[in-house]
Amino acid sequence: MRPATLSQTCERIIAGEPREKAFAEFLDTFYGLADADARSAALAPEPPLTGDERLDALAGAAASYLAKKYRARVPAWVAAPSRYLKEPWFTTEKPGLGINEFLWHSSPAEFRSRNIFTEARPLRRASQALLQRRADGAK
Amino acid sequence: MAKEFDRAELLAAFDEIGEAAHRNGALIHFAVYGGSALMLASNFRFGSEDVDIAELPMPWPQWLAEVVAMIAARHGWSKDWLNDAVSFHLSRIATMEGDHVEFGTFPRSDVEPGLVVYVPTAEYLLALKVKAIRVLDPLQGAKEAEDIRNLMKIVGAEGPDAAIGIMSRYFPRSAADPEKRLFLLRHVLDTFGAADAPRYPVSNL
Repeated sequence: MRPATLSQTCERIIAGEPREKAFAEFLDTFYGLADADARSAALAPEPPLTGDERLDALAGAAASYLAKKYRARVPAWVAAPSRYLKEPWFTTEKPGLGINEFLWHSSPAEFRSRNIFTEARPLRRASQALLQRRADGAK
Repeated sequence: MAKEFDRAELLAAFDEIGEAAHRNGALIHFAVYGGSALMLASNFRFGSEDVDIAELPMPWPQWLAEVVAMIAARHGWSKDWLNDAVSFHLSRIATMEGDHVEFGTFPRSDVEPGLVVYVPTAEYLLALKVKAIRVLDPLQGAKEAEDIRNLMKIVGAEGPDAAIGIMSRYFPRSAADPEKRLFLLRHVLDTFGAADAPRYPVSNL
């Protein structure tokens, strides 16, 4: 089964599951949830720290971003110091002046405030729009 | 824990679906997209989280729902491992005849086939990837960029303009304002990580 919460996602990563896969599966779960309470519950438990500062900050950014975008409650744990990076992270294979500036301008506030500079619509999944439409239709 | 599919497991699952279709007197067709299409029919992608398909009859016949659920339970896969959510993102201009190729028939035995699987042409798959342009995603970006570099090599697209030209054949409205995609494609092509001799589609069942 897919992880039901962001916390379970990080537990799986700690246990050795590839982060790309664990996050992708969580996002498919999250985008399929039908109401704000269910989305809040998926984000509420604090994920364990993974030992990878970027990943721990990304979890905080993702929870904050998803909560605001999909009208869920922003969990308190996202404000912990461990959810912020000291050094900037530009989410590209090859940072450089031009692409860094692009990312600085593109990055949503929930990411930028944590020193993560990424695309304007991160965490997209191919399934996102249709799952969301179905979830909305099921209300 | 849900598993990532590998190619052999997915082919075996298609065998089961094909056998079930044959037992029920049906012949079904579907096309596979995204990472699972590359996993099946390329020499540069080896895993996928789910299987994005289109063209299945809706609602699913009972026998199909049952065999898909049975496969999920046996392998520990997500219950919607076979899903048509990708259909929302497909081109309305693309056709099954012109923009897909037959990947294979299932089961892979002497039994009459019950399932025919198609994959998009390299041009159409590249168009889908360039339209989505998820190359800067914090988790999937590197893999997406590598897929685009490999597909551009395969179709002989020598630069960002050529890639946008291919996208415009399928998504003319998205291609009408190409500046951001051109910038990102230039960045993608400025980095490393393509296979030496990428191939797609290949059907070595």
